Amino acid sequence: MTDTTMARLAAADPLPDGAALDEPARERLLARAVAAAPARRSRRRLLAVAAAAAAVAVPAAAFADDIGGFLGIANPGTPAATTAVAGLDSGLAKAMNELRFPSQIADLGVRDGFHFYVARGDGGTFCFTISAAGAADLQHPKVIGCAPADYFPAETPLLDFSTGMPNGGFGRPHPGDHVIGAVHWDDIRRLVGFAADGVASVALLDADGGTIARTPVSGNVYLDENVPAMPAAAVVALDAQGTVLYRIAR
Amino acid sequence: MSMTMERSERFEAIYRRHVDAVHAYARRRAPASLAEEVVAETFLVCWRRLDRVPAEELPWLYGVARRTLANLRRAERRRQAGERPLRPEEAAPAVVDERLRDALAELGARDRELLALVAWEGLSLAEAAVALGCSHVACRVRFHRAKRRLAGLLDPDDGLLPRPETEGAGR
Repeated sequence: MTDTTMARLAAADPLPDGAALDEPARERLLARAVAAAPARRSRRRLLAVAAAAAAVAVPAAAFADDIGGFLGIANPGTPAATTAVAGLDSGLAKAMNELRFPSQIADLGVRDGFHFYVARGDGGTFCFTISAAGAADLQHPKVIGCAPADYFPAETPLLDFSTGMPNGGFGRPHPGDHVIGAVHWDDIRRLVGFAADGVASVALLDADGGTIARTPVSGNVYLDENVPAMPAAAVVALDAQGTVLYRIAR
Repeated sequence: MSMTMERSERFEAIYRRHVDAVHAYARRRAPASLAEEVVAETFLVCWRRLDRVPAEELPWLYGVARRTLANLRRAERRRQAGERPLRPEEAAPAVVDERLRDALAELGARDRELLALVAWEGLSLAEAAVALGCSHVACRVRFHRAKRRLAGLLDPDDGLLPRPETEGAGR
């Protein structure tokens, strides 16, 4: 008798076919959930972005003491102790530990208060972090991750985080890579990333190919925090002659 | 693969596996606009507490969605005055069976939710217990009571509720 009751209740399901979201709505809600997280944590927690998942069978020992010898990067950087970089930022320290950063990393330079660090991670991976200067400065977003050991491959001279989260974080390095973080082409606030030798500048283009912003690459890094708020269609790497070497398209 | 990536991938896998179910849960109980809020908030909590998400992911997510919906409804009630009425397509879908709807309205919110989780979301009692944050035993007892009460409200002659004449038999 009561099974009849439950059957009657089941039959009265106001949404018998469920309520599947369309793909844009799924992505939008995913972006909202993820994008909200760092902001609500007063940005203390780390926005972790891993560049690629490819496992590279290179013995870590092969890269011991080779913190400056990166493929396609002439800038050797300044050695720094990983613990000093993590400093008081427990989120960054935790991520560095999880990613197995070595004890020494190379500081490629500082732009607008952000330091660009690289290191050989476990298995020879190309590990990187961009974080605000000052160990106690927890107000800025940051990015950390590890790419395959063959970074930078000739066909991919950028590790770009410009298409990031509008609320302050940095975004995924390349469309298609499996990372948490939405690509916000309509709300790019900064051009930021690492560039291989030969890349003289990085530009943000609109749908018509017009330049929204362009910033020089110096010491294999770039940062422009004054990008006009316009819908963008591509990030391009340019050589000294202005020739497009690489394009990340919307 | 790093722990950080594993965390990210786990979250995204949970999201893709359950987002439609969570959305359907919310949509059964709330207007479309509120349902999207519930989904976003639910997965934000999931991302924050990823280390504590149990193996029964979906019932846990339903539990988060339930509490989120309650919070949003409270906030909604506070700012409702003076706003435009919802268009029909925005409103929460209603149970068409009028008698059943009235009977459900007679139940306590927690009993109603338990029955709906089983009948509409298809949860087992063990899963519903996770969603409601109660023990399996307590949930089972509550379920049988709620089901019996609903049956009685739908059909007072089904013998499962004390009938008026039975109640008066001792007089």
